Amino acid sequence: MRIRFRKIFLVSLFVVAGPAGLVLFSQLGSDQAPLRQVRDRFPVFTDVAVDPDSNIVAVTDENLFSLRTYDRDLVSGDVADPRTVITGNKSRVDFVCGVALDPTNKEIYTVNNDTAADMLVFKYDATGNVPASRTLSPAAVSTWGVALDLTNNEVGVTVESINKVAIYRRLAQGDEKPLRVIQGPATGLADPHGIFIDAQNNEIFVANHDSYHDAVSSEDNPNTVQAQLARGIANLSVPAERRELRSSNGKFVEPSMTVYARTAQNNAAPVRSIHGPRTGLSLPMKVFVDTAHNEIFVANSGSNSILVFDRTANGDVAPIRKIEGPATKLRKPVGLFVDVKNDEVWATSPELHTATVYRRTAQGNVAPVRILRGAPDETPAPGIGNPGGIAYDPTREQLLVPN
Amino acid sequence: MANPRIAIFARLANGNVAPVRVIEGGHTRLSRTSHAIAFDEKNDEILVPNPLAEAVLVFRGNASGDEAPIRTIQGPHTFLQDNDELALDSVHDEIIVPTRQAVLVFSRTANGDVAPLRIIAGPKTRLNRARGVAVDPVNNIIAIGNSDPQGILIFNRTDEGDVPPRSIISGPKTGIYAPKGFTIIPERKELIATIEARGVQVSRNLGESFVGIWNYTDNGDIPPKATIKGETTMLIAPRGAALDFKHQEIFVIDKIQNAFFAYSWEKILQGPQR
Repeated sequence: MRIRFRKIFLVSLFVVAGPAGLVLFSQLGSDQAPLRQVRDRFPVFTDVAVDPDSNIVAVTDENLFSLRTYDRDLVSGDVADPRTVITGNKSRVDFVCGVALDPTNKEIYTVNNDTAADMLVFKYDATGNVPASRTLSPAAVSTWGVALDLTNNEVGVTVESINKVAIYRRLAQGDEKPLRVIQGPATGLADPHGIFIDAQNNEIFVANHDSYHDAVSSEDNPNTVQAQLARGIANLSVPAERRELRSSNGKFVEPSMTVYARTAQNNAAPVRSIHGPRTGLSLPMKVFVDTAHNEIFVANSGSNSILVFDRTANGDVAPIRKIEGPATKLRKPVGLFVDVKNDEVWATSPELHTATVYRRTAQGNVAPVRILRGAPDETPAPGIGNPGGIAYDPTREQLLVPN
Repeated sequence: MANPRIAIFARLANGNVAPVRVIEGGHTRLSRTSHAIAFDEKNDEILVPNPLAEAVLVFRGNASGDEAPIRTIQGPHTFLQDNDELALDSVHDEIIVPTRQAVLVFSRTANGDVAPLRIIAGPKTRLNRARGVAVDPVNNIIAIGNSDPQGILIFNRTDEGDVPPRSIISGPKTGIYAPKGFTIIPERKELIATIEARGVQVSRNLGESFVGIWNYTDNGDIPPKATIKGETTMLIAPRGAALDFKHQEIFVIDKIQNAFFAYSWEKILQGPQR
């Protein structure tokens, strides 16, 4: 009886205490679980593109590193069900920003930003952890925008850190060189983000932030050790180029929308530039030109708004209309697309996990006609993206995290 | 997040939570590539680099919203270039900024186009693709994460010119591939470095990268005396670390997870050590 009791007691002890012991053990060694973690479990929508004929909308998600498609006309009060989700290490979908759709060839183009700055091309029906159909390496780091020109069979990307626009063959892949590059102090490019190629009027539009420095040649090579280091695969025994001290040439400039001839190259000056206090431009992200109505749409993150300018606007001009105000549910919008066929404009608000849809001609403090949600309504977003540093403020007992 | 900003979270924040305060907007002059940050407790200021504009920005400690920096170091005399990182020495009122092949030291109150007070640069320094930086104003050292040689270079705080590091922690036993973020414990003369493993940005494997702790006196191919490492840690690509001495916690930011994690410092020290 006594032995039986001891046996039962020991078995019970093991069953009850075993998991607790495992938890304790895991926290004693170096392989300890975090006490707390601040992490967004939901996708945040960065850029957006629509193919009305195939009835799909594609969004990039730079939080969970995914590329998603949904039904364009989806009406959902809750979290939307995607048609496809491309994610995982085989896909190489990383800190993705820009997205563009090719309705003719049924392909999705996206670019990674501050890590493996690759342009990836997937078929519409690709889903899961699948490799891209084509991969192009346009920069060492920091590609942001991507735009297609199906008339001339070209694709353009912006590169933030070296203030560059590069135009490639649409089917370019690997280390293929660009057909043309716009780069240099006369271009007015400064931390370029969104890009749109207007094949009808033979122009390229670029949204610029305010940070500028003259890029040096070694910053501009996707095959440098530095670039491979950004991808985390560098062989560091390879001697690196030395970079001697030089006078700094960094500066802040006004945010702008610069416009170039479609075939512009090298240090070409813009043919037009929208900039100045009347424009209201502040951290402009995606740009889209509606050639049917001769209007430029800008996701203006700094003012929580969508700005609309005349297509030929130049200089310090006010927008012809704005979508702005609390009813719009725009917060720091990044992505944008004008669906001319359905007379709609889309915008993303990563901090709200949403893409919102408005009438193309909407103006002022208007509510969206539809909302695509990546998370339940009101879900807070930590908003941490590609972080590199953290500091502790012991006075306020707060943590500081820059993006 | 695509927007350039500094997000401020409560110490006990946990889960899918929003920051309590955000510094963001066109007036802040932040770009979205500020990969380091320092908090100046003594003067209640926040320091961040903006490498795209070759600038160092200083904000009020309680800054919020679209607030402009109170000081900006920028201009031809600064020699700022690839200034992705910085560290603060609030005892000697200096800001230490590694560039690709140099370490620049500025006055803490520098503003505008000002020259560095000191520069460590030259072939003897072995500086190459410098990344993380830490300064200990008590024991007078500067630690630099270096890519070639792959490891941690330790200089005297007041070094200047073409001087060799006083020690180099490098070699296969160190486990170092890409040291990125540093923090220090002057009282214990310990250096804490976040070490990203080779290839994790592609593989996204848990448990290969780690946070390692070394003594200031370590030199050569020395393994870390203690680590935070393993699949339970959730770390994939740790990039920066910060210590809360009062509550004995360490915070580690992770680039792939787009997250930060808090760990018990005491438990790390109870774990296996060299």
